[in-house]
Amino acid sequence: MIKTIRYANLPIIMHWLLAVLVLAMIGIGLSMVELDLPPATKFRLFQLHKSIGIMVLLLVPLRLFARAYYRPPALPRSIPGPEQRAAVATHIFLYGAMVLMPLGGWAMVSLSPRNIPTVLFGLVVWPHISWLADLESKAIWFEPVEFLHRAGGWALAAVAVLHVAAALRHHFFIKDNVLWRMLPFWRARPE
Amino acid sequence: MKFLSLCVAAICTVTSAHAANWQVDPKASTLCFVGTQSGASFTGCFVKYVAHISYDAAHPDLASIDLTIDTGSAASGDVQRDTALPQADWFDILHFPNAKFAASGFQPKGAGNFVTSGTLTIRDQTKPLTLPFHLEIAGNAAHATGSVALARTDFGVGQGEWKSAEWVAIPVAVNFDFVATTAP
Repeated sequence: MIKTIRYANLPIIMHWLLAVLVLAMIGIGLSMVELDLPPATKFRLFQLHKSIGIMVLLLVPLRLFARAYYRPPALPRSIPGPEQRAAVATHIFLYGAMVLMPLGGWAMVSLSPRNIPTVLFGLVVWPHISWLADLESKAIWFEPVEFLHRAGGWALAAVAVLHVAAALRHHFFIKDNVLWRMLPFWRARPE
Repeated sequence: MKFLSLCVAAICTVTSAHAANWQVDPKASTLCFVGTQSGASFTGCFVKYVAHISYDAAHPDLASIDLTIDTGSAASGDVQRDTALPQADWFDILHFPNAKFAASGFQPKGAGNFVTSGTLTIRDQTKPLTLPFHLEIAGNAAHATGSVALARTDFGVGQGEWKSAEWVAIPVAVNFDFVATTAP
């Protein structure tokens, strides 16, 4: 019976893997554009941000597969309707951001007037999206895409905080099994 | 007979040196540039270049250098930088596969030091360039070293937003260390 109320292994693995990567992306991304860092540090952070971003992009299909293949356990009926809908909306946003943020970042890098090559972890060259990189009018497109990526980063940070706060609220204050269903190691079900 | 053969050898040396064409040994020579990216200095080297050097110690004013550099052969040991270098903002090797240095006349400055004047062409931008160097010749082997400071923007190396020094400094030092031989 426990299997039906917990997430399956693959969704749990993918959730925590992407959680770590996405949090790293938010932290690196916001620091590299908002903080006044030495140029060399900034440059390295951009390359790291791009490397992890492409990693996310490559892992997201597996995450989506895990979501589609394993039906998630239903939320406890004790959760009021508006909160259930808020949870669904939050999850849709997070999945959307996981797909659109890396794609948007890749588009932005491809459109950048600086035309900086992406080298994954200093080792492998990752190409630009060629039709964007070759666009005559790419200078016009860069700024709106950059704005959306940056605004998306802040929005994602806010929604991630909401998501974590809700999980902690359920675990420590409401004391239901919402967070427990997603925990990888701790298998004792809270009463 | 001994005197005569020495004499012939001496004449031969003089005549061969008069038209001395020097073959640069690419394995023993380096042609490198030192730039500054985000405050950190880096060194890149051209692996492929062809040098035609003519020099006769008796007629330094007739000496000449004709150096053609394959801009696509630059390597700086960093994948990111080496991917960017051949592209349109930097060397643009598609449109400018070669850089050239052409100079004639070596002015001796004593103690093996010389200065030569010529032109440097990068990205089809030609600028006059005075190159100081040190030259040592032992028999038919020559060793020349020199360094010159350039402003990359004089040649359009770094287009668009790269024209500013924000990420990559404007001054670039070019250092060469050439080992050459001439036919005895």
